[in-house]
Amino acid sequence: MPTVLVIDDEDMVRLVLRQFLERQSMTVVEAEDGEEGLRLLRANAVDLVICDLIMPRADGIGTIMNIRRLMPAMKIIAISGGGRSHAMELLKVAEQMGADHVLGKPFTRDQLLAVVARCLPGHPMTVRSSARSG
Amino acid sequence: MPVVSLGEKLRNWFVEEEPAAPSNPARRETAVAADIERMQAFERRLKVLLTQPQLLSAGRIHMLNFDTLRERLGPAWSELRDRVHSAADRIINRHISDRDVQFRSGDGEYIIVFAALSRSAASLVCAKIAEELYRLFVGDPKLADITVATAVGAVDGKLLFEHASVAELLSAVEQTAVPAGPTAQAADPPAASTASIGTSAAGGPEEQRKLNLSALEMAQIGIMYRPLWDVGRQVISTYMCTPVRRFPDGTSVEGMLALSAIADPQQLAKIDIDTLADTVEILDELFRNKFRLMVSVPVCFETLAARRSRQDFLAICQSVPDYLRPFLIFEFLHFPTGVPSGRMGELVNEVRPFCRWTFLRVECRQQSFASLSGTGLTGLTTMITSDRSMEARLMEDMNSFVAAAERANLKTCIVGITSTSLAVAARAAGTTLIAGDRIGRAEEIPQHMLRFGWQDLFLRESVR
Repeated sequence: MPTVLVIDDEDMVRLVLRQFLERQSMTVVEAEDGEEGLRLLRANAVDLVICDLIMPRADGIGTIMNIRRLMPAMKIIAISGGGRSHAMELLKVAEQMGADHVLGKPFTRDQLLAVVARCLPGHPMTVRSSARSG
Repeated sequence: MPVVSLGEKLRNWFVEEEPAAPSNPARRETAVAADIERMQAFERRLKVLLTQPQLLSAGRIHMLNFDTLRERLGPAWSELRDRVHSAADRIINRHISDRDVQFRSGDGEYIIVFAALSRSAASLVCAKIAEELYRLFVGDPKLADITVATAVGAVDGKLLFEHASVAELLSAVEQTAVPAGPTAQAADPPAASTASIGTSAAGGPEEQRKLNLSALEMAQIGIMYRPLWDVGRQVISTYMCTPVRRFPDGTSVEGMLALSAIADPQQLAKIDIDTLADTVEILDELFRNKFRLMVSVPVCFETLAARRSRQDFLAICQSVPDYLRPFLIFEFLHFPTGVPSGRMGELVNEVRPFCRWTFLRVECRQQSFASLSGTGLTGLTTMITSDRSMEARLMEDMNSFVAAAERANLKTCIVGITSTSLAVAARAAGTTLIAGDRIGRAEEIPQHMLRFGWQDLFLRESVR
């Protein structure tokens, strides 16, 4: 059963992602900022990281760079948006800094699962449509 | 208009101030004689002070009466009286300058004689004092119930006081306010006072006691240049002048804090004028050495509101060579929130021919800038101060601030970015210009334009 680390400062986003992923038989570990995310990453056998970019204390781009440095093979999905007008620009930056895929909020369950499926090809998923991603 | 007898007032003071009588009759006699002498000297001094025609005509003698507070406290007044007086002394002393005088003239009554403020500015200081005191003891004050009395004349040793509620004073300020300060009467009528109740103009802690600085203290104030990152173009293209005050003990304060102790508009104007002149000289030198950069120069409302200092400032503007004007930005500071758009447009137009852009410094939490649309302003600057625990709230504030500015077609510049996460959030919110220690510290001399991308920011963080 793959383990996904979700790093997002918004409780609601973490809750929704947890529900989506647990229904796909995945284990979810949650962190509310980049610092906690890195700590949990070291403490758990994580297969995939889903990381928000705009977070207090430790932002997502710096966190992605640190993850890439610590674990070069780790699969990372960057998510961002939430009403911010320049979030897409930051997703491009995240890609340049090491994210494998990016998703702009708001995204649908199937868009998320399609990207997750690409990151975890050996894990069976229930996906109904293709996702927009980087 | 109630009439108060000066003699009665003075007698009341001494009844209040008289210490308990000593038990030894001889010592009591000596003490009484000393008291009488002290009383007579005091009375002479006060009579001279309170009946000086120039003080009266200038509206510099004020009486603060806490009758309403006493009524609202009811039976608790007798228990709280000492605490009220102690708090009143503290609050009054915080708001008045060393040259002003305050006396307790009765139970819950104070006389304040202002050395320099105009009548309206002095009334507002008194209103602010009363508001703070009422807030301290009865919570939310009813501004209509708090009155400030201004001495308007003296007849046969009696002072005539005119009473106005704080609500009335504020209403008057909104219509024809004059900025607080010794030269307030010389200023053109601006839109709102820099002294206000319940709200504060952007750019400095209202609570800090303001003074005129000595020449030596003025010499402690200098200018440094802080890099501004144009996030959209990924370049550090602009340096903003930031005032720095260096204290003899080696400490220093930067930004608005460096100016927060100055109340005298002439001193502020001198700093503005010197800053512009020095900056233009530096910019010219850099330009001749093929450096290309923009510089943002601050100018205070006080400087532009008073005709004389405005003319002095504009004279320097006119001396700016044509080839440097596209590299100059003006940032308006200390502008009260209620300046009408027409007045704002006039002031923008005064400096617009000499610069590329004009920015206005505002509070980050201000949510509507519709009135600024069409004034000719290019954008808004805001200063955030943060420790890491406040970042989540600041991110929401920045988002709302930029959205409100964009609705008014204004660019935004956020100053005080101390972490990468705040820089990311500021850009995500849509701001175009960012400054703060995370981008670069203030320098003595501005530098050349510099390509600066996200990678540079993150890599710089990773090597620290």
